[in-house]
Amino acid sequence: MKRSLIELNNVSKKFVIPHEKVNTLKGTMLNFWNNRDYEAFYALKDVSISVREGEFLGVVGGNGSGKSTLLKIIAGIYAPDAGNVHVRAGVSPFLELGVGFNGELTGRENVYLYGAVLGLKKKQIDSKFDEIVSFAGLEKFMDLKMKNYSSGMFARLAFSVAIRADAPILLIDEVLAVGDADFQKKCFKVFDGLKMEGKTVVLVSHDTEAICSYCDRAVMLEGGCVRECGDPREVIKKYSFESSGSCAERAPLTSSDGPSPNGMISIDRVHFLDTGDNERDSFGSSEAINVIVAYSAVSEIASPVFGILIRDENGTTVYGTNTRTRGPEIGALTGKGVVSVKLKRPPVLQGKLVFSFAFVSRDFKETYAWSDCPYTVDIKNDSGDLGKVSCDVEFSF
Amino acid sequence: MAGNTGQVKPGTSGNIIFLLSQLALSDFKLRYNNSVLGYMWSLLNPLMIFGVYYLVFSVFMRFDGVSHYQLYLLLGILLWNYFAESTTSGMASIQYKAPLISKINFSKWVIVLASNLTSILSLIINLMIFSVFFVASGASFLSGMLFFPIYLVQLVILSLGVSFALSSYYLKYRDLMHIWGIVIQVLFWMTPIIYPVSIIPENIRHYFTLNPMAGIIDGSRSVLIYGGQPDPSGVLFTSIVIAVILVAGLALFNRRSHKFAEEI
Repeated sequence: MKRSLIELNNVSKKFVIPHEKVNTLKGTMLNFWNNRDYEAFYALKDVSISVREGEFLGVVGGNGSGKSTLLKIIAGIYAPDAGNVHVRAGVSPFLELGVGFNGELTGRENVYLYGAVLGLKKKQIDSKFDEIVSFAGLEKFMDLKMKNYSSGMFARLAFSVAIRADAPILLIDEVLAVGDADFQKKCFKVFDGLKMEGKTVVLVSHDTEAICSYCDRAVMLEGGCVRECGDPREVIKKYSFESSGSCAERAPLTSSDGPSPNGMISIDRVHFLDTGDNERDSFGSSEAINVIVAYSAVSEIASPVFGILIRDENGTTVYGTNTRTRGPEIGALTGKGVVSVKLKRPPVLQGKLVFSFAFVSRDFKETYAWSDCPYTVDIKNDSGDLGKVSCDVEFSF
Repeated sequence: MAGNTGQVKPGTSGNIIFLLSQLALSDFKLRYNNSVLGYMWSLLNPLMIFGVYYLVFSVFMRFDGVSHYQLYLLLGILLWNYFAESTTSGMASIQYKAPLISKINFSKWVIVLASNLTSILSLIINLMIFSVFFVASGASFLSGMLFFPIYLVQLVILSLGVSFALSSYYLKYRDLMHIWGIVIQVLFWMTPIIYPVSIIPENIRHYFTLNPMAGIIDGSRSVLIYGGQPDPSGVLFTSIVIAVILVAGLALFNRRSHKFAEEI
C-alpha cells in the first residue's frame, strides 16, 4: 500500500463569529468588558481523513458543510484548532472558483505572479505560458486587466495555472461549475492525465457523476463532520438521497447499485400491470403503467418514505420521486403489503426503463429496503411523436 | 497547540528571488495604478514637501549655523519619507495581497519584504534626484560619503522591522493605519529633519539619540554633506536599537502570521 500523503487526525476548526464584526480597537475595548458577544462555530469537527499517494478523493456536502475549510486546512492556509495535519508533499490549490488573481493586473502579470507564489521559477512559467493560455482559451485576453474578465475566464485561467504548478497534490474546488461544456471536457481530460501521472487529488464538486467516475474514494461532510466515507458510488448515493429531501429537483436515488439497506423491510416482488391488470414487460408510450411493489416489514416501521427511481439503459436518471416530496404520508407499515405506483404514461417515448425502489426513514438517514435486482420494461413509441421524452401538449386555436 | 508538522509550503525555496521580484513588481504597478503621473508621484511627493519646508524655513524663518541648508533639508526629507512610506505600505501589504493569502499557503514575510523593496525603488530614484541637487549646489564630493551605505542599510532594516511589527496586527486592528499616521507626524517633529540637533536644549538632547531615525538622518548628513566620519559608538547604539526592533517585529509576525488568512 502506498504511503499516505495527506493525513488529518481529529482535526477541528473553530471560527468565532462576533455578532458584530470587531475590527477596531474601540470595539475590542468595549468587548473587553462585555465579551460574550460572539459565538463559536465549528466549521470542522473531529475530522480524520487520510489520502494515499496517487489517490483521488472526492468531497461532497451541502453548502456550509466544511468542504472549503477542509481544503484550506489541507493547503495549510488555516491552522487547525485541534488535531494534527500532516501533508507530505507540495500542494497546488484551486480554491473557491478563484485563485488569488488581482483584477488590477493583466492576465499575463497574474499568471507570473501566481506561478511564482506556487513555487515555479521564471523559466518554468516562460516555457509553460503558451500552454497555460491556450488551455484556458484566452490567447486574445492576456494583456487585458483581469477585472474585465468574466468569472468563467477567471476560473479557467486559474485552473490552467494551478494544474501546471507540478505539485504532487492538487486541491480542486468546484472547477466544473464554472466552465462551459467545452472547458469541462478539457477538465476531464486533465483529470485522466492526473490519474496517469499518479497525482494525488482532492476534488470538491457537486458534480456527482464526475466524483463517481474519477474518485477512488469519497467523503461526505455534514455540519463539519465526516458523515460517510468510502466507495464513491455509495457515498454519492447517500448524498443524493439526502439532498433530494431538501431540493425537489434532484433525483432521490442515483447510480447503479443501492445503499446497504438494514433489512427492516424487504421488497419481495414487483409487477408491471396495464389498465386491464395484465402483467407485461413492454408498454406503449401512451399506455398507463401500474407498478405493484410487494413488501414485507420485519416489525412496525413508523412513517417511512417510499421512493422510486427510473433510469434508461445508460444508467442516466430519467425520473425519480418519493412520497415525502409527493405525498401521501405513509403512517406505519407492518407485515406484508403492496404499494401501487401509477404512471399515467411512461416518461419516455421509447427505450428500456430500469426501475428501482426504496424504503427509507423520514430523515433519510436509514435505508430500510432497496431493490437490488433491476426491474425493467420496454417502451415502444406508439404515439407518432418524436424525441426521447414524452410531454403533455395541447394545441388550441 | 495543534501543529501543521511537515507542511510543505510553496515559495520557500528555489524561487524566492523570483517570487520577491514578482511581488514587488505587482506592488509597484498597483501602487500607482490608475494614476496619470504614475510612479512620478514617488518623486513629486517628497519634492513638494521639500519645497514647502524650504520656503518656510529658509525664507521666512532661518536656522543659523546650517550650511547647505537645502541639501540638509532635502536629504532629511527623503530619508524620512522612505521610513514613513515603507512602514505605512508595509503595514497594509498583507491586506493588499488578501486574495493570494486566502487561497495559497506561502511564506507571508516575503510580502512585507517585497513591499519594502518597492519603497527602496522609490528611494533610489529620490537619491538620484538628490545627487542632481548636490552637484547643482556646488557641494564637493568627500571621502566620508563612503560611509553613507551604513546608514542606508540601517534605515532599510529599521523600516523592515517596524513593517513586520505593524503588519502583524494591522489585519486585526485597522485603527493602526490612523494611529500610525499620527505617530509618524509626531516622530517627524521629534527627529531633526527640518531643524539642526543644535537647537535642542542640551539637557534633553540625549533622549533624541534613542530615536534611531535621528541617528540615521544626522549621521547621513554628516558623512554625505559635511564629509565627517561616522561616530562608531553612535552607529553601534543605533544598530542595537534597530536589531531589537527587527527581532521583535519578526517575532510578532511569526506568532501572528498563521492567523492572517482568517483575519482577512
